[in-house]
Amino acid sequence: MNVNNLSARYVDVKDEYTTPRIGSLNIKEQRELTLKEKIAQTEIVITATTEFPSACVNLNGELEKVEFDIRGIDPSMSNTLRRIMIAEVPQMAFDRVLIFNNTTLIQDEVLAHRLGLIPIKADFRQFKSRTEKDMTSIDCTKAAHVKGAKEDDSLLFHFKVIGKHQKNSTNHVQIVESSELKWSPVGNQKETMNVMPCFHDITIAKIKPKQFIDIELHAFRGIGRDHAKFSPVCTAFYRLLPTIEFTEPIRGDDAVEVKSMFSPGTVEIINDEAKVVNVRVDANSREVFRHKKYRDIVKLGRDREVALFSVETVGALSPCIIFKESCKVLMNKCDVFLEELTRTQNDVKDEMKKE
Amino acid sequence: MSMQGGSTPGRGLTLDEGPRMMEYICGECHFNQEVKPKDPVRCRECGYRILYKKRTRRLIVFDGR
Repeated sequence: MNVNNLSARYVDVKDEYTTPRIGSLNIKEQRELTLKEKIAQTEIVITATTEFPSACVNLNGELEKVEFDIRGIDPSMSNTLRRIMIAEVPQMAFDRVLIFNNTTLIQDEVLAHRLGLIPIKADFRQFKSRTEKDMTSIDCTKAAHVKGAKEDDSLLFHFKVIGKHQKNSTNHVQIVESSELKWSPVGNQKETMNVMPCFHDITIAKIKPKQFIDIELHAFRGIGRDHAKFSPVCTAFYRLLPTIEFTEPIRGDDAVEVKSMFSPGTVEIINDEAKVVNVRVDANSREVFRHKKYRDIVKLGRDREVALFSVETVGALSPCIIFKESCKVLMNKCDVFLEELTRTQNDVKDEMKKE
Repeated sequence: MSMQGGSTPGRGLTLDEGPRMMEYICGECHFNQEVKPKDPVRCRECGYRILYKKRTRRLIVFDGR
């Protein structure tokens, strides 16, 4: 049975949803608010945080994921922030892999790709972005032509491993993990930062005795729009707060049945009557719509004004900082846009004068 | 100088220096050995007859993506 078809006409779409607004949650007065007032009424509430599991020694105790609500802004704004977090907040990542030697089974190209994806625990705010022409050319074959790392825009890592002999076995396979990546500070980087891979147990390659890797890595600042390795978030998403409404009281056995149709904790039976306790935990399964009995009693919807955000970091920066930076990026975009607007406005005025 | 052959870094193509000695790797026991032009192609450790050339130590640049 196609649940979507069955329930489509029951999903609540209010008229006001079709007109875009900046936001008006919890606004008691009827008069139109100015943009500033609306923004002032927007609130961000941190609802839950998760800590890194203690297994990750180097990140122990640091914030991995943050969940918060933004109330009072249009979903278009929430979506903007989400997209900026994923694609436009910068991050440091290995971009030039200079391979001097690699006698392992894993091919140079694959190895370079793997290395590029390793997240680095570095604060992008301490770096400028490097232009493509300042980077070492892909065609470069001489160490003398390598464009060195500069302290204000790049990080230098060395990766050198030799497969060790194990006394008892001739076929010993050694697993090379990201802890082998050694940071070489450039200039006064040593005083201003402490850089390392975010995780020390990422498998890079498996090597046998006498196999050899000698690589120099240059990390630069980039944005997720260019390549996913520059994205500072694992997952950054929001969902709108679900709304559940019973138009008639549901009692007795029906109440028990209705309760079982929602995610645990959403509906509870209070005084033999089903009551919505916590809409936040509901997974919006729309199971009720499969039952003729409850189809017309239960109304499901979405509160467009409440965005439940969940931001999980890759490990370089705290998710709170990533969110703050996304706001800054948005502000910059707005400035650019306003500038553009005034410029065209002036152009129009000039043209009018000429006429 | 004579110990350095084509496998030395930055000297990949300087073949006219002294008696030419190349380092090869045994295909069986991975023993590292120097072979002169008239030497038999044979591993000194295990007698295996397949020897491999060493990889160049020249720099190759890749995009990490």
